[in-house]
Amino acid sequence: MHTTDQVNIFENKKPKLQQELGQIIRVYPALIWNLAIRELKVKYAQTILGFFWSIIRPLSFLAIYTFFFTIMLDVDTEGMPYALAALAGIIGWYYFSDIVTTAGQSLIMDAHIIKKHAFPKLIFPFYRSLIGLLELLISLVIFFGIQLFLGHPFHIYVVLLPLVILLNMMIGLAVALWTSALSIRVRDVFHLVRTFLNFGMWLTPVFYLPNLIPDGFEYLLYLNPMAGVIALYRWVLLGGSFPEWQYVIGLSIGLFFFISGLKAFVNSQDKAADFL
Amino acid sequence: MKKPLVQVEQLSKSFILNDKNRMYLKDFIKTKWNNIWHPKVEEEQFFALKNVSFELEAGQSIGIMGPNGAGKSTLLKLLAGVLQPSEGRIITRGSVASVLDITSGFHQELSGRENVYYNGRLLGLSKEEISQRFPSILAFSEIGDFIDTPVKYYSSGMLLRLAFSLISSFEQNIMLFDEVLAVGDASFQQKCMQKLFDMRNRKRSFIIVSHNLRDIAMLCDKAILLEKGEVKAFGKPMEVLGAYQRIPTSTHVIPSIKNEEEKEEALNQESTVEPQEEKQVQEIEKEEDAKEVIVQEEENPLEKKAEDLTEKNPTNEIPEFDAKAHFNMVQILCKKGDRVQDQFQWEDEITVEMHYQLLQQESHIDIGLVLSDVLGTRLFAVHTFAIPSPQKTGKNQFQLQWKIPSKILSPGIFFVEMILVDANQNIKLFPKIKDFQIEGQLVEFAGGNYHLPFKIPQVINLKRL
Repeated sequence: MHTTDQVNIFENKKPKLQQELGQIIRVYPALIWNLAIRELKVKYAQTILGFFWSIIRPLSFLAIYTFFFTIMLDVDTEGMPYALAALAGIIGWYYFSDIVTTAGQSLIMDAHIIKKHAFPKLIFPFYRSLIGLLELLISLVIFFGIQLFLGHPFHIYVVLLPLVILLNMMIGLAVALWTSALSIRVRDVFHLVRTFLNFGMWLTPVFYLPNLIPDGFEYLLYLNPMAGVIALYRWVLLGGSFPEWQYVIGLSIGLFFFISGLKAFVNSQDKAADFL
Repeated sequence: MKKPLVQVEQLSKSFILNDKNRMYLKDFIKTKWNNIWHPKVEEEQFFALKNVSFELEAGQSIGIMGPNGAGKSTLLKLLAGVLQPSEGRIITRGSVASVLDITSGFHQELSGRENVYYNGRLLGLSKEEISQRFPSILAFSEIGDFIDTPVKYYSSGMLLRLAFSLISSFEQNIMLFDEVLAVGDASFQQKCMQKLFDMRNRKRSFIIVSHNLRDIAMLCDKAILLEKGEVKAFGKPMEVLGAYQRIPTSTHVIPSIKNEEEKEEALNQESTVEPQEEKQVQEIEKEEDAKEVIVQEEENPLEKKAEDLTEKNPTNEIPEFDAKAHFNMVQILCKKGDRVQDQFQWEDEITVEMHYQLLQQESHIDIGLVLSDVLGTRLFAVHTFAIPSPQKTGKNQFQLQWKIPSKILSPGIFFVEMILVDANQNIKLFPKIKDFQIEGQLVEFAGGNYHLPFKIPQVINLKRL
């Protein structure tokens, strides 16, 4: 990271987003990776089952919701096995909410590093957004297992899955970055966002399909970035028809907040150490 | 011409005071609301550093000293890039490793070994580089088999040892240390010092914040004295140390009694045990006393001298002790022929002279005087326990003279500390009541505090005036 002829100038100047991102890509990928690995180790330290908790948690949710929706409510799943449709939703939503809750307060949780090392502070939400990937991958393995078990056909669009995951990550970061930037000085923001996540989980077709949304309320779907992401998950994992074009609205909103979140974060990061 | 490793140019750092560390939504709305209606209500700013400039040349080391809250740690954080300057700029050339708050970078859940790797990565080393250094780190830290135990089970001493071993093994071009020498037991501190001397010998540059003045004097080529965010002195450690010691300590700052209300307050603080009536009596006595001093000063050129000295350094005034004694003046002088001087040479006999009055006829105090050097080492002391009290005749005023024989003290700055003991064995300390300088060139490291050999004749003299 440090070279002998490295010259650093510290002064009161707003950093440029492009420079920050460039520096992170050139210098810090290894550090981001290491921080994520360390955090995973810490997460499962002193647990007997260790990484198995990553399997148990989504599976337990899946079992509860499968029971509730198929047996109690008998929802219409447009020919898809409910367990798979719900799991596709769970995968997307849990990754999203994991990013929001961890990366969203990364500046506070990593204050001990921020107060001692001069890193571009974007690496903190970035590395925290990677941690949820492990649970996501494990959930996908479970998903494919169930898919094989149920004999549901695999789909060629599954090769687009990494793109969908990337989109999922960006939308999670959009919320997380804004939360971080605002909560440096006003810590209520994080609690507000976490409360809102509970509403979001039910406003978004995670455990049900969009067809459950009554007529006249579709705009709720189309304005919701996560509704688009989950529709894409279902499409690449389960096939079926391509999501409606209106989802583009929500996804564009999500991407707009991602870019502006990066800017807001970088603009407020230098105040961070003063207030932590 | 090689450029300096660190250039600090007109650096200032301000913090916003009135919202402390965090702000809750209601405060946020409240300030915004206030700002709408009273646009003048601005955030209160606190300058932790003001207009600080200095340079660190390659191979040099700088020690930063100053009282609490002077901005030492803020300066180090700015140098490390953790905080952003409010004004001015810092240029660093070469890699910087900072040791700020030595152990808190450790992750409690991870083992000692994992923490070494984790912190090594944070300091910018590759896994291979850390593996290479690991055996020496482990050996230096004396942690032994506990290295694979989570650090939350470590004692604080173990944690500190591991942290210092880790950090001192990363030799970057510029090292920043914040209070690292305050850790561990005496033998480990010795090891740390040796490590820092090794770095110095190998011409590594470091900047160190320490309250241990001796360390700075020994380790650093230069020293910076910070006070209230400003550079008060920058230069050779021994010279800066002199300036540092002359900063009044908090126990030393005594508001000079000026008017009735203040006097009342001072009295209330001084003697909480005294009954109300007595207090008033003493107050009157003191007023009379003050008048007397003025009269004396007009007559006596010697005391005028003392007054001058006091004006230069008004905090050197001594307050009354337990409201029983009143010190009119303290001065340090030497007599050459008939002339009285306040500049001293090695061959001068130096006299510490004080006049005081006991406010109650029957009371008694003993006085101890201690001479200490610029590092705070107490060199020698005298006290009045050993000498007979003056006859109980005459006024209740006393003159105490302490003659420090000539040709004893090496050039440098010295401080006089006073200890008062009353009849009930209550003790009150007055650090640095007076300081003086012996002119001349001190040979650093070889100088020492004394010129040997010497013998000390009877040096203390107490008489009733």
